[in-house]
Amino acid sequence: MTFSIKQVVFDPFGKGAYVLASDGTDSAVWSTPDVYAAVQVWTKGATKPGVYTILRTTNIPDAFFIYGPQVTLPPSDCAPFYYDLRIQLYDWAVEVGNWVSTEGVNGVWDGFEMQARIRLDCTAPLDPNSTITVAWYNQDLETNGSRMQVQWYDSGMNLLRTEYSTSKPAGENSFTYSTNGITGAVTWKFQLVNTQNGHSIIIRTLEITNP
Amino acid sequence: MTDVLIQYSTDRGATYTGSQSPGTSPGTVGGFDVQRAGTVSYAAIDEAVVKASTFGGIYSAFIVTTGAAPVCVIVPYYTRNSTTVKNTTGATPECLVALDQADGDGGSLYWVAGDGTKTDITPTAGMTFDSPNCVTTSYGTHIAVFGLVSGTYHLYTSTSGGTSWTDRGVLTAPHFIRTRRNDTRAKAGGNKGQLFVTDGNTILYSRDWGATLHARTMPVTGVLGLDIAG
Repeated sequence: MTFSIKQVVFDPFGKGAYVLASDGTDSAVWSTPDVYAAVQVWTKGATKPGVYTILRTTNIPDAFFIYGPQVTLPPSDCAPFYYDLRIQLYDWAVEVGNWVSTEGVNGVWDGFEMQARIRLDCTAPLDPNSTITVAWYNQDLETNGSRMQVQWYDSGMNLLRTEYSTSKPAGENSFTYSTNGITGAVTWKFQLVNTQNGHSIIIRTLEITNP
Repeated sequence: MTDVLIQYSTDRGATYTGSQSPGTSPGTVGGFDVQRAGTVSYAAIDEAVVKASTFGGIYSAFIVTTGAAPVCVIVPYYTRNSTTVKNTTGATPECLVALDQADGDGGSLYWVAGDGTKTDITPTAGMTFDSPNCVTTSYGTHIAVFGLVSGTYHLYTSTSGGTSWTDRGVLTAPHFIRTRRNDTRAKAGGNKGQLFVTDGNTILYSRDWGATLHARTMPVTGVLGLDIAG
Protein backbone atom coordinates (compact mmCIF):
# COMPACT_ATOMS: atom_id res chain seq x y z
CA MET A 1 0.00 0.00 0.00
CA THR A 2 1.10 3.54 -0.65
CA PHE A 3 1.48 5.85 2.30
CA SER A 4 -0.27 9.19 1.99
CA ILE A 5 0.87 12.23 3.96
CA LYS A 6 -1.39 13.32 6.80
CA GLN A 7 0.77 16.01 8.37
CA VAL A 8 4.17 17.65 8.08
CA VAL A 9 5.70 19.44 11.05
CA PHE A 10 9.01 21.20 11.58
CA ASP A 11 11.10 20.02 14.53
CA PRO A 12 11.06 23.02 16.91
CA PHE A 13 14.49 22.09 18.25
CA GLY A 14 16.51 22.20 15.07
CA LYS A 15 16.44 21.94 11.32
CA GLY A 16 14.61 18.63 11.24
CA ALA A 17 11.07 17.76 10.26
CA TYR A 18 8.50 15.03 10.73
CA VAL A 19 6.05 13.53 8.26
CA LEU A 20 3.06 11.52 9.50
CA ALA A 21 1.64 9.23 6.84
CA SER A 22 -0.81 6.35 6.56
CA ASP A 23 -1.68 3.70 4.00
CA GLY A 24 -5.24 3.53 5.23
CA THR A 25 -4.47 0.64 7.57
CA ASP A 26 -1.26 1.52 9.36
CA SER A 27 0.62 4.72 10.13
CA ALA A 28 4.24 5.73 10.60
CA VAL A 29 6.34 8.82 11.10
CA TRP A 30 9.32 9.67 8.94
CA SER A 31 11.88 12.10 10.29
CA THR A 32 14.88 13.94 8.94
CA PRO A 33 17.53 15.73 11.02
CA ASP A 34 18.01 18.49 8.43
CA VAL A 35 15.23 19.34 6.05
CA TYR A 36 17.46 21.93 4.35
CA ALA A 37 20.17 19.44 3.38
CA ALA A 38 20.75 18.94 -0.32
CA VAL A 39 20.34 15.20 0.07
CA GLN A 40 17.52 14.18 2.37
CA VAL A 41 17.82 11.24 4.71
CA TRP A 42 14.40 10.22 5.97
CA THR A 43 14.17 7.61 8.69
CA LYS A 44 10.96 5.67 9.08
CA GLY A 45 9.80 5.00 12.64
CA ALA A 46 7.74 2.15 14.01
CA THR A 47 4.59 1.21 12.15
CA LYS A 48 1.45 1.58 14.26
CA PRO A 49 -1.86 -0.05 13.36
CA GLY A 50 -4.58 2.47 12.57
CA VAL A 51 -4.92 5.76 10.75
CA TYR A 52 -3.35 8.65 12.67
CA THR A 53 -4.06 12.14 11.37
CA ILE A 54 -2.34 14.60 13.71
CA LEU A 55 1.27 14.95 14.86
CA ARG A 56 2.23 17.43 17.56
CA THR A 57 5.72 18.11 18.82
CA THR A 58 6.32 18.93 22.49
CA ASN A 59 8.76 20.96 24.56
CA ILE A 60 11.05 17.92 24.77
CA PRO A 61 13.52 17.25 21.95
CA ASP A 62 12.69 14.22 19.79
CA ALA A 63 9.29 13.81 21.47
CA PHE A 64 5.90 14.02 19.81
CA PHE A 65 2.33 12.75 19.96
CA ILE A 66 0.32 11.20 17.18
CA TYR A 67 -3.49 11.20 17.38
CA GLY A 68 -5.87 8.82 15.65
CA PRO A 69 -9.55 9.79 15.82
CA GLN A 70 -10.92 6.39 14.85
CA VAL A 71 -8.61 3.50 15.55
CA THR A 72 -9.82 -0.06 15.83
CA LEU A 73 -8.31 -1.57 18.91
CA PRO A 74 -6.67 -4.97 18.59
CA PRO A 75 -8.86 -8.01 19.20
CA SER A 76 -8.84 -9.84 22.49
CA ASP A 77 -8.32 -13.50 23.33
CA CYS A 78 -10.31 -13.24 26.51
CA ALA A 79 -12.13 -16.01 28.28
CA PRO A 80 -15.51 -15.81 30.05
CA PHE A 81 -15.67 -13.67 33.16
CA TYR A 82 -18.44 -12.55 35.45
CA TYR A 83 -18.50 -10.12 38.31
CA ASP A 84 -21.28 -8.52 40.29
CA LEU A 85 -20.72 -5.43 42.39
CA ARG A 86 -22.97 -3.14 44.37
CA ILE A 87 -21.82 0.25 45.54
CA GLN A 88 -23.71 2.95 47.39
CA LEU A 89 -22.58 6.55 47.66
CA TYR A 90 -23.94 9.32 49.79
CA ASP A 91 -23.17 12.71 51.42
CA TRP A 92 -21.73 14.79 48.60
CA ALA A 93 -20.07 17.22 50.90
CA VAL A 94 -16.31 17.10 50.54
CA GLU A 95 -14.06 16.35 47.68
CA VAL A 96 -12.63 12.89 47.57
CA GLY A 97 -8.87 12.80 47.94
CA ASN A 98 -7.42 9.55 46.83
CA TRP A 99 -9.49 6.94 45.17
CA VAL A 100 -11.01 4.36 47.44
CA SER A 101 -10.00 0.85 46.54
CA THR A 102 -11.68 -2.35 47.44
CA GLU A 103 -11.62 -5.91 46.35
CA GLY A 104 -14.82 -6.66 48.15
CA VAL A 105 -18.40 -6.54 47.01
CA ASN A 106 -19.66 -3.48 48.84
CA GLY A 107 -18.16 -0.09 49.44
CA VAL A 108 -19.33 3.30 50.69
CA TRP A 109 -17.69 6.62 49.89
CA ASP A 110 -18.35 10.29 50.51
CA GLY A 111 -17.46 12.88 47.93
CA PHE A 112 -18.29 15.90 45.86
CA GLU A 113 -17.41 14.07 42.71
CA MET A 114 -17.67 10.37 42.67
CA GLN A 115 -14.38 8.68 42.09
CA ALA A 116 -14.38 5.02 42.94
CA ARG A 117 -11.64 2.65 42.00
CA ILE A 118 -12.45 -0.99 42.02
CA ARG A 119 -9.67 -3.40 41.37
CA LEU A 120 -10.63 -6.59 39.69
CA ASP A 121 -7.88 -9.13 39.29
CA CYS A 122 -8.94 -11.16 36.38
CA THR A 123 -6.98 -14.38 36.25
CA ALA A 124 -8.42 -15.28 32.89
CA PRO A 125 -8.68 -12.80 30.07
CA LEU A 126 -12.03 -11.35 29.21
CA ASP A 127 -13.99 -12.47 26.23
CA PRO A 128 -13.47 -10.03 23.34
CA ASN A 129 -17.19 -9.45 23.08
CA SER A 130 -17.89 -9.04 26.78
CA THR A 131 -19.85 -6.07 27.91
CA ILE A 132 -20.06 -4.21 31.19
CA THR A 133 -23.41 -2.76 32.11
CA VAL A 134 -23.31 -0.07 34.75
CA ALA A 135 -26.59 1.02 36.25
CA TRP A 136 -26.81 4.09 38.43
CA TYR A 137 -29.23 6.56 39.87
CA ASN A 138 -28.87 10.32 39.31
CA GLN A 139 -30.54 12.64 41.71
CA ASP A 140 -31.38 16.23 40.75
CA LEU A 141 -28.84 16.67 38.00
CA GLU A 142 -28.22 19.74 35.90
CA THR A 143 -30.05 20.27 32.65
CA ASN A 144 -27.69 18.41 30.41
CA GLY A 145 -27.67 15.36 32.61
CA SER A 146 -24.70 13.24 33.42
CA ARG A 147 -22.32 10.98 31.65
CA MET A 148 -20.74 8.03 33.35
CA GLN A 149 -17.11 7.55 32.45
CA VAL A 150 -15.41 4.22 32.87
CA GLN A 151 -11.65 3.87 32.59
CA TRP A 152 -9.62 0.71 32.59
CA TYR A 153 -6.04 0.55 33.84
CA ASP A 154 -3.49 -2.21 33.73
CA SER A 155 -1.62 -3.50 36.77
CA GLY A 156 0.91 -0.67 36.42
CA MET A 157 -1.94 1.88 36.48
CA ASN A 158 -1.42 2.77 32.84
CA LEU A 159 -4.65 3.90 31.23
CA LEU A 160 -5.88 1.31 28.77
CA ARG A 161 -9.03 2.99 27.54
CA THR A 162 -11.82 5.35 28.46
CA GLU A 163 -15.44 5.24 27.51
CA TYR A 164 -18.24 7.67 28.26
CA SER A 165 -21.92 6.90 28.33
CA THR A 166 -24.29 9.12 26.43
CA SER A 167 -25.81 11.96 28.43
CA LYS A 168 -28.42 10.73 30.85
CA PRO A 169 -31.21 12.56 32.68
CA ALA A 170 -32.02 12.39 36.36
CA GLY A 171 -33.34 9.10 37.59
CA GLU A 172 -32.35 5.57 36.91
CA ASN A 173 -29.91 5.04 34.10
CA SER A 174 -27.70 2.39 32.70
CA PHE A 175 -25.13 2.11 29.98
CA THR A 176 -23.32 -0.83 28.46
CA TYR A 177 -19.61 -0.54 27.86
CA SER A 178 -17.48 -2.82 25.77
CA THR A 179 -14.51 -4.51 27.39
CA ASN A 180 -12.94 -4.23 23.96
CA GLY A 181 -9.78 -6.19 24.37
CA ILE A 182 -9.03 -5.60 28.03
CA THR A 183 -7.13 -8.58 29.36
CA GLY A 184 -5.52 -9.74 32.56
CA ALA A 185 -5.53 -7.81 35.80
CA VAL A 186 -7.34 -4.52 35.42
CA THR A 187 -8.30 -1.63 37.63
CA TRP A 188 -11.48 0.25 36.85
CA LYS A 189 -12.29 3.83 37.63
CA PHE A 190 -15.82 5.17 37.47
CA GLN A 191 -16.46 8.86 37.34
CA LEU A 192 -19.68 10.77 36.95
CA VAL A 193 -19.01 13.86 34.89
CA ASN A 194 -20.98 17.12 34.78
CA THR A 195 -22.12 16.89 38.34
CA GLN A 196 -22.78 19.81 40.64
CA ASN A 197 -22.32 20.19 44.33
CA GLY A 198 -25.15 18.69 46.28
CA HIS A 199 -26.03 16.09 43.73
CA SER A 200 -25.74 12.44 44.37
CA ILE A 201 -25.41 9.21 42.56
CA ILE A 202 -25.84 5.62 43.45
CA ILE A 203 -24.27 2.88 41.44
CA ARG A 204 -26.81 0.16 41.83
CA THR A 205 -25.16 -2.66 39.97
CA LEU A 206 -22.17 -3.31 37.87
CA GLU A 207 -22.25 -6.46 35.88
CA ILE A 208 -19.89 -8.06 33.43
CA THR A 209 -21.54 -10.53 31.13
CA ASN A 210 -20.36 -12.78 28.39
CA PRO A 211 -22.10 -13.28 25.08
CA MET B 1 -15.41 -0.82 18.02
CA THR B 2 -13.20 2.19 17.38
CA ASP B 3 -11.70 4.61 19.82
CA VAL B 4 -9.49 7.63 19.83
CA LEU B 5 -5.93 6.47 20.25
CA ILE B 6 -2.97 8.66 21.19
CA GLN B 7 0.64 7.51 21.00
CA TYR B 8 3.63 9.24 22.55
CA SER B 9 7.21 8.86 21.38
CA THR B 10 10.40 10.30 22.83
CA ASP B 11 12.75 8.96 20.16
CA ARG B 12 11.41 10.44 16.92
CA GLY B 13 8.95 7.61 16.42
CA ALA B 14 11.34 4.68 16.64
CA THR B 15 9.31 3.44 19.60
CA TYR B 16 6.18 4.54 21.43
CA THR B 17 5.93 4.51 25.18
CA GLY B 18 2.34 3.34 25.28
CA SER B 19 -1.01 4.09 23.80
CA GLN B 20 -3.84 5.99 25.42
CA SER B 21 -7.48 5.68 24.56
CA PRO B 22 -9.16 8.69 26.14
CA GLY B 23 -12.61 7.94 24.78
CA THR B 24 -14.83 6.77 21.98
CA SER B 25 -14.28 8.07 18.49
CA PRO B 26 -15.66 11.44 17.39
CA GLY B 27 -15.73 10.08 13.82
CA THR B 28 -13.10 10.10 11.11
CA VAL B 29 -12.00 13.63 12.00
CA GLY B 30 -10.94 14.79 15.44
CA GLY B 31 -8.77 17.52 16.93
CA PHE B 32 -5.72 17.31 19.14
CA ASP B 33 -3.13 19.79 20.31
CA VAL B 34 -0.36 20.18 22.84
CA GLN B 35 0.56 23.28 24.80
CA ARG B 36 3.63 24.90 23.21
CA ALA B 37 5.97 24.96 26.22
CA GLY B 38 3.99 23.02 28.81
CA THR B 39 2.61 19.55 29.30
CA VAL B 40 -1.12 19.99 28.80
CA SER B 41 -2.80 18.36 25.82
CA TYR B 42 -6.39 18.42 24.64
CA ALA B 43 -7.98 15.63 22.60
CA ALA B 44 -11.31 15.30 20.84
CA ILE B 45 -13.50 12.33 21.63
CA ASP B 46 -17.18 11.67 21.00
CA GLU B 47 -19.03 14.95 21.73
CA ALA B 48 -16.35 16.18 24.12
CA VAL B 49 -12.81 17.40 24.54
CA VAL B 50 -10.69 15.77 27.23
CA LYS B 51 -7.55 17.04 28.89
CA ALA B 52 -4.31 15.52 30.14
CA SER B 53 -2.06 17.60 32.37
CA THR B 54 1.12 15.63 31.79
CA PHE B 55 2.69 13.80 28.88
CA GLY B 56 1.28 10.30 28.99
CA GLY B 57 -1.08 11.29 31.80
CA ILE B 58 -4.68 10.33 32.18
CA TYR B 59 -7.25 12.22 30.13
CA SER B 60 -10.26 13.52 31.98
CA ALA B 61 -13.33 15.57 31.11
CA PHE B 62 -12.79 19.17 29.98
CA ILE B 63 -15.73 20.35 27.88
CA VAL B 64 -18.81 18.75 26.37
CA THR B 65 -19.94 19.47 22.80
CA THR B 66 -23.31 17.79 22.91
CA GLY B 67 -24.43 16.58 19.50
CA ALA B 68 -21.28 17.72 17.70
CA ALA B 69 -17.82 16.34 16.98
CA PRO B 70 -14.79 18.48 17.89
CA VAL B 71 -12.95 18.23 14.59
CA CYS B 72 -10.21 20.75 15.36
CA VAL B 73 -8.52 21.72 18.63
CA ILE B 74 -5.85 24.41 18.79
CA VAL B 75 -3.92 25.70 21.81
CA PRO B 76 -3.02 29.29 20.83
CA TYR B 77 0.22 30.93 21.87
CA TYR B 78 -1.59 33.85 23.55
CA THR B 79 -4.72 34.17 25.63
CA ARG B 80 -7.81 35.60 24.00
CA ASN B 81 -7.50 39.21 22.88
CA SER B 82 -4.04 39.56 24.41
CA THR B 83 -0.81 40.41 22.66
CA THR B 84 1.23 40.03 25.85
CA VAL B 85 -0.15 37.21 28.01
CA LYS B 86 1.17 33.91 26.73
CA ASN B 87 -0.83 30.70 26.78
CA THR B 88 2.16 28.42 26.30
CA THR B 89 2.67 27.34 29.91
CA GLY B 90 0.55 26.78 32.99
CA ALA B 91 -1.97 24.20 34.07
CA THR B 92 -5.05 25.73 32.45
CA PRO B 93 -4.29 26.85 28.90
CA GLU B 94 -7.04 28.21 26.70
CA CYS B 95 -7.95 26.49 23.45
CA LEU B 96 -10.06 26.90 20.34
CA VAL B 97 -12.46 24.13 19.34
CA ALA B 98 -14.17 23.83 15.95
CA LEU B 99 -17.16 21.50 15.55
CA ASP B 100 -18.76 19.64 12.66
CA GLN B 101 -22.09 21.20 13.56
CA ALA B 102 -23.52 23.50 16.19
CA ASP B 103 -23.55 21.82 19.59
CA GLY B 104 -26.11 22.03 22.34
CA ASP B 105 -24.87 25.50 23.26
CA GLY B 106 -25.52 26.78 19.75
CA GLY B 107 -22.02 27.43 18.45
CA SER B 108 -19.66 25.62 16.11
CA LEU B 109 -16.47 27.53 16.97
CA TYR B 110 -15.50 28.25 20.57
CA TRP B 111 -12.67 29.98 22.35
CA VAL B 112 -12.49 27.93 25.54
CA ALA B 113 -11.04 29.40 28.74
CA GLY B 114 -8.77 27.36 30.94
CA ASP B 115 -11.64 26.54 33.29
CA GLY B 116 -13.71 25.13 30.41
CA THR B 117 -15.92 28.17 29.87
CA LYS B 118 -16.92 28.27 26.22
CA THR B 119 -17.26 31.56 24.33
CA ASP B 120 -19.11 31.23 21.04
CA ILE B 121 -17.08 32.88 18.28
CA THR B 122 -18.74 31.21 15.30
CA PRO B 123 -17.95 33.44 12.30
CA THR B 124 -21.39 33.18 10.73
CA ALA B 125 -24.53 31.26 11.62
CA GLY B 126 -24.58 27.77 10.17
CA MET B 127 -20.84 27.55 9.53
CA THR B 128 -19.43 24.08 10.16
CA PHE B 129 -15.96 22.57 10.08
CA ASP B 130 -14.54 19.30 8.78
CA SER B 131 -10.75 19.50 9.07
CA PRO B 132 -8.37 19.01 12.01
CA ASN B 133 -6.25 21.82 10.51
CA CYS B 134 -8.88 24.50 9.92
CA VAL B 135 -7.96 27.07 12.60
CA THR B 136 -4.87 29.21 13.16
CA THR B 137 -4.11 32.20 15.36
CA SER B 138 -1.61 35.01 15.65
CA TYR B 139 -1.45 36.50 19.14
CA GLY B 140 -4.79 36.39 20.94
CA THR B 141 -6.47 38.72 18.51
CA HIS B 142 -6.00 37.30 15.04
CA ILE B 143 -7.88 34.14 14.05
CA ALA B 144 -8.27 32.59 10.62
CA VAL B 145 -10.49 29.62 9.81
CA PHE B 146 -11.91 27.78 6.85
CA GLY B 147 -15.21 25.96 7.00
CA LEU B 148 -18.44 25.22 5.24
CA VAL B 149 -21.22 27.76 4.76
CA SER B 150 -24.23 26.28 2.97
CA GLY B 151 -21.99 23.56 1.56
CA THR B 152 -19.27 25.90 0.25
CA TYR B 153 -15.88 26.45 1.85
CA HIS B 154 -15.17 29.99 3.00
CA LEU B 155 -12.12 31.63 4.54
CA TYR B 156 -12.97 33.86 7.48
CA THR B 157 -10.59 36.04 9.46
CA SER B 158 -10.89 38.03 12.65
CA THR B 159 -8.62 40.60 14.27
CA SER B 160 -10.74 40.89 17.42
CA GLY B 161 -10.41 37.48 19.01
CA GLY B 162 -13.50 36.28 17.18
CA THR B 163 -15.83 39.11 18.14
CA SER B 164 -16.22 40.12 14.50
CA TRP B 165 -15.27 38.34 11.30
CA THR B 166 -14.61 39.09 7.64
CA ASP B 167 -15.48 36.67 4.84
CA ARG B 168 -12.37 36.47 2.63
CA GLY B 169 -14.06 34.46 -0.07
CA VAL B 170 -14.67 30.97 -1.36
CA LEU B 171 -12.23 28.06 -1.28
CA THR B 172 -12.48 24.82 -3.24
CA ALA B 173 -10.68 22.10 -1.28
CA PRO B 174 -8.87 23.61 1.71
CA HIS B 175 -6.69 21.32 3.78
CA PHE B 176 -4.39 23.37 6.01
CA ILE B 177 -4.23 26.87 7.39
CA ARG B 178 -1.15 28.22 9.11
CA THR B 179 0.50 31.42 10.17
CA ARG B 180 4.13 32.15 10.99
CA ARG B 181 5.03 31.60 14.62
CA ASN B 182 7.56 34.44 14.68
CA ASP B 183 5.52 36.95 12.68
CA THR B 184 5.03 39.88 15.06
CA ARG B 185 3.16 42.20 12.74
CA ALA B 186 -0.30 41.21 13.96
CA LYS B 187 0.62 42.77 17.30
CA ALA B 188 0.10 46.16 15.69
CA GLY B 189 -3.55 45.28 15.07
CA GLY B 190 -5.60 45.47 11.89
CA ASN B 191 -5.13 43.31 8.85
CA LYS B 192 -1.53 42.39 9.49
CA GLY B 193 0.11 39.01 9.69
CA GLN B 194 1.05 36.31 7.26
CA LEU B 195 -1.38 33.56 6.38
CA PHE B 196 -0.90 30.36 4.39
CA VAL B 197 -3.81 28.21 3.17
CA THR B 198 -3.67 25.09 1.06
CA ASP B 199 -6.57 24.81 -1.40
CA GLY B 200 -6.39 21.74 -3.61
CA ASN B 201 -3.00 21.93 -5.32
CA THR B 202 -2.65 25.65 -4.59
CA ILE B 203 -1.01 27.43 -1.68
CA LEU B 204 -2.63 30.77 -0.93
CA TYR B 205 -0.42 33.34 0.75
CA SER B 206 -1.48 36.55 2.39
CA ARG B 207 0.61 39.19 4.15
CA ASP B 208 -2.45 41.17 5.28
CA TRP B 209 -4.35 38.46 7.19
CA GLY B 210 -6.41 37.32 4.25
CA ALA B 211 -7.36 40.68 2.74
CA THR B 212 -5.25 39.87 -0.31
CA LEU B 213 -4.50 36.28 -1.31
CA HIS B 214 -1.73 35.30 -3.71
CA ALA B 215 -1.95 31.85 -5.30
CA ARG B 216 0.94 29.55 -6.05
CA THR B 217 -0.10 26.38 -7.84
CA MET B 218 1.92 23.24 -7.21
CA PRO B 219 2.50 20.49 -9.81
CA VAL B 220 0.69 17.92 -7.71
CA THR B 221 -2.90 16.79 -7.34
CA GLY B 222 -3.18 18.12 -3.81
CA VAL B 223 -1.13 19.71 -1.07
CA LEU B 224 -1.53 17.28 1.83
CA GLY B 225 0.64 18.92 4.46
CA LEU B 226 1.88 22.36 5.36
CA ASP B 227 4.02 23.83 8.09
CA ILE B 228 5.84 27.12 8.25
CA ALA B 229 9.38 27.43 9.53
CA GLY B 230 9.99 30.40 11.78
